[in-house]
Amino acid sequence: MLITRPRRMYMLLVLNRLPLFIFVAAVLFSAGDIKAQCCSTGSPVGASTYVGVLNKNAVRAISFYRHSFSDIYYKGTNPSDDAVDMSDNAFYDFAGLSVEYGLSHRFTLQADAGYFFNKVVNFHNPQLTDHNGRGMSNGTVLLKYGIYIDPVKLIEISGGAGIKYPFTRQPATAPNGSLLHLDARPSTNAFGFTGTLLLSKEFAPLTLRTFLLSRFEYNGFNINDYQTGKLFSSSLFVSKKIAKRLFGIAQLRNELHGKDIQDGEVQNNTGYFLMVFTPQISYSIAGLWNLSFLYDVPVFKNYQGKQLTPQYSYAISLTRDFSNCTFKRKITD
Amino acid sequence: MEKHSLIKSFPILIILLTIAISGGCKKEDDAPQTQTDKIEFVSLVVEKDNIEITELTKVSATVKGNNLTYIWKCDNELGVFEGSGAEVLFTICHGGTFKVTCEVKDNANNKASKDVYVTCVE
Repeated sequence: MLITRPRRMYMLLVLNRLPLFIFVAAVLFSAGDIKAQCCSTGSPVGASTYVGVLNKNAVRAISFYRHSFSDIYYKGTNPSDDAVDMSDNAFYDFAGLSVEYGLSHRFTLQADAGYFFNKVVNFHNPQLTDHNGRGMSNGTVLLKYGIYIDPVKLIEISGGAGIKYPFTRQPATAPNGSLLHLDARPSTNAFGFTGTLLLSKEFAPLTLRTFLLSRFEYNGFNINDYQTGKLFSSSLFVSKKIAKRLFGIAQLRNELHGKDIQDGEVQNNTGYFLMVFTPQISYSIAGLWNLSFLYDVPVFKNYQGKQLTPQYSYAISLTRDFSNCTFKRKITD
Repeated sequence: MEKHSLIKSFPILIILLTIAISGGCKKEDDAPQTQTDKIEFVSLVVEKDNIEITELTKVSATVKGNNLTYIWKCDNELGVFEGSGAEVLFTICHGGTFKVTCEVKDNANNKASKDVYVTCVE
């Protein structure tokens, strides 16, 4: 088979990057000893709109940092008017890394992992020492499949399935040896499954792209027979070029979180429906790098029982493509 | 070409799913109530066995032995302990009756444990 010169150079480029990819993947898979996520204060969702499948041998790395703050208890759809709460507030600082590799033109393998620099619960009662957890969150390995890709009509429908895995099965402990409060733990310490579905349509003349991303997560039990509830989230994105290399993105996301279970017993103060509006700006550098900033504003909350709820969250992300990945790059450049 | 890639990718998926299924849903056996010759667990007392949510109650262990290490556990992951050693404070943000366990061990790895129950009213 004849290989054209640009094609050969492209293959060489990919081969040169392969050791880097393998190294990052090895780090993601081998951090077994590192202490290991999350409850009503919200899960650290990523900060990238790059969610489709890649071309064969293409590599993409997405890194992001997120800060989240929670300080208002809700009962149903309204703030609680109780005089005493368990915590005054809770917050976390989280860094995530996602690496994607195009196995073929249809299949893309994705590996995600992240680290909580802190995950703090400030108890209201001054007799209690605040809990501060840090360590690896759960990792995810996902295989995405391009169900329908039309590069002319700029339509993509892709689905993915994968596993969530903990870096340790042992729940994180406080300095006194007892278990950390659930909201302060960096990991669920349990295996799980995840599935995604993406519907994307681009309007190139308008430099506009819309997509709907749905994600389902099932969490297994940890060693103490505690199971974090199922999560179903759906995000609607509208992305529009507003200046050269600058994009504005509006996201409306809803999260439906099922109730947690302990020893077969449903936990009352768990489970919620949350709707978040996220404005985002994204700047493309040389068609390979992409810098984004986003801010999460909760617009509707419905929490079962009484729970501490997220107030705001912001994230910054940096994306690097190691090849000309998908048709969506056409409007980026 | 594309069929080839598809077939190549399937074993990876199967391996990942096998790892997930074999590692998940495992439960550790509950620690049995134990007593050895080296450690004598005399008593485990809770100051108030009925508390309101976020209220603290003192739990005290009396144990005979040397170089003892105390490990405090609740059968609900939401239980919070303050302090360490033979006397701790306990609270929880959920209603229900919860088992509080104190496990004690010494340098020779002799172990003993006792349970008490605390009811939390919402």
